[in-house]
Amino acid sequence: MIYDLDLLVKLKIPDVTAVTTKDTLQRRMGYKGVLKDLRREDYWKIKVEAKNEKEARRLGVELAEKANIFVNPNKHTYQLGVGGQRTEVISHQSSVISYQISGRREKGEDRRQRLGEDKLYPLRVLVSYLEDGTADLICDALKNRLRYGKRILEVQRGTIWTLIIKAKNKRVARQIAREITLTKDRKKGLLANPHFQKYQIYV
Amino acid sequence: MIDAYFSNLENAIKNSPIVIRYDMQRFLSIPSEGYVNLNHRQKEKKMLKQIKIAVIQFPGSNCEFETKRAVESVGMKAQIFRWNRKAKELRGYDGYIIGGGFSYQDRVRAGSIAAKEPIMETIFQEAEKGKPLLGICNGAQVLVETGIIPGINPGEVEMALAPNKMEKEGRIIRRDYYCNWINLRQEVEGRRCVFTLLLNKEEVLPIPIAHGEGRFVSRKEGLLKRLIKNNQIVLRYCTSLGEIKEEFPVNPNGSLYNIAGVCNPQGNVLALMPHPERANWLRQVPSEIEGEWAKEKLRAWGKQGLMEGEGPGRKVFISMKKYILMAHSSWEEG
Repeated sequence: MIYDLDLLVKLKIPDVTAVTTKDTLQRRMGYKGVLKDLRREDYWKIKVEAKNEKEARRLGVELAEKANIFVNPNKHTYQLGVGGQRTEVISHQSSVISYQISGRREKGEDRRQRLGEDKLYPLRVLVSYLEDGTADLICDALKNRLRYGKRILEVQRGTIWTLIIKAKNKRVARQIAREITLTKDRKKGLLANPHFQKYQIYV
Repeated sequence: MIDAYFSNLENAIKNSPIVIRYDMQRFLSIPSEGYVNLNHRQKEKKMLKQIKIAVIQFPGSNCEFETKRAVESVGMKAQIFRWNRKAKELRGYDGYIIGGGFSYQDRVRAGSIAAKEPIMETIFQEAEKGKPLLGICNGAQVLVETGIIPGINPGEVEMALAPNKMEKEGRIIRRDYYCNWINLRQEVEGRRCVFTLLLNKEEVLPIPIAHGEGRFVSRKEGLLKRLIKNNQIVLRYCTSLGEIKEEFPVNPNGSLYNIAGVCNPQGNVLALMPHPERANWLRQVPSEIEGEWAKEKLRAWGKQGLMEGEGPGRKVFISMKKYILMAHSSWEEG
């Protein structure tokens, strides 16, 4: 049976790319009051052939921990999801949004209810390449050099940007995420250049 | 040499679409024999002292000092301009070069963060006035991400510089970072672009490249046709004999239409992936490459004076100087 492994790899050291991106969006592109936080993860989708879901999961853990391609345990943590025949891009639970005020940690939901203001929406933007040679090379390396052979069918990669956006509703939050993502001109968009990248937004 | 320069310039002025202020009649009155009249030479010296070129430095740029030396080698003054200075200070410069390197560590995408810096807005405005703007390698990536290039709809991002993809015999044989000497062919009349004023059509120059994302691509329908029609594709990758071949290594990165350099419609902005500052002196040219420049290097071997002479990349900077001198001449008497 064919399974999709969704591997999310996150830095456990400070992510300077996320810091720079957030800083550019807030200070240079006018999203200071709107973009509350930004995080980044590497996303790998690996199509594998396995007898059952348990074996697929075991293969996923082995690829993450032994292949030395996707995860460097010195600086990364990872989460693994196993999809069935129907692929789910995001398979792990969203974390609770917490917003720190005056040194006291307050959960996002409580704060919104207290202040009656715009809500905070976590959105995930998956940016990937229209044509990704690096993913093809990695697939080839897994199959041949690392001898996983026919168990590995395909590798896709992307970057998942988690945007915490303050907005009136989901529709507006999604619109803001689209503006942040799609690079149209020097003032609009940053995360994806549509001439060689594609994106998907998940609320 | 000077005769050739003035001959090319005369034609450049007659037919140039470049929007600059200069007095065509006064300039054409300069004798074609060159600097026969010493006053003209002294005048040019005086003007050169006033010309300042800003070489933009972003965090992660690493070619700014080489570029500065190349600009100074043709007699212009160059200053390294840090990205976090006040943008309005840029207005006092006569031309701009965004050099190579890895601005902001290529975070998100090469050139994407630098493209959002406030100084790019000022540079864009100054370029719209006709001032020369050259983007080399990472600088070209910044110009593409800013929408200055190709500039069909100024400000709109109409292209990208995607990761390299090297194809040969129908197969992808290599990807990503590649550095080597390649050959460029001047695709249009030199006068079409400020930085190629002194190049003849179909002239071949050996220039080095060193990049991982140099493949010009676009999903905008009809863009390539429009660029060809507008003569905006100034330089293309070719063999040492000037033949265009789409395969690696002649096309070193899989660039659309073998594009190496694109100018804006006005011709005063050029996004160039190869590094002309690394071919500014003859001594920089490897004697192992094919073509006339390598032979010239071998002839100059052991003669320091000749080795310090002009290399294939210098014409880019001399062209820039000539263009600015023309503009300055008119401002002085205008």
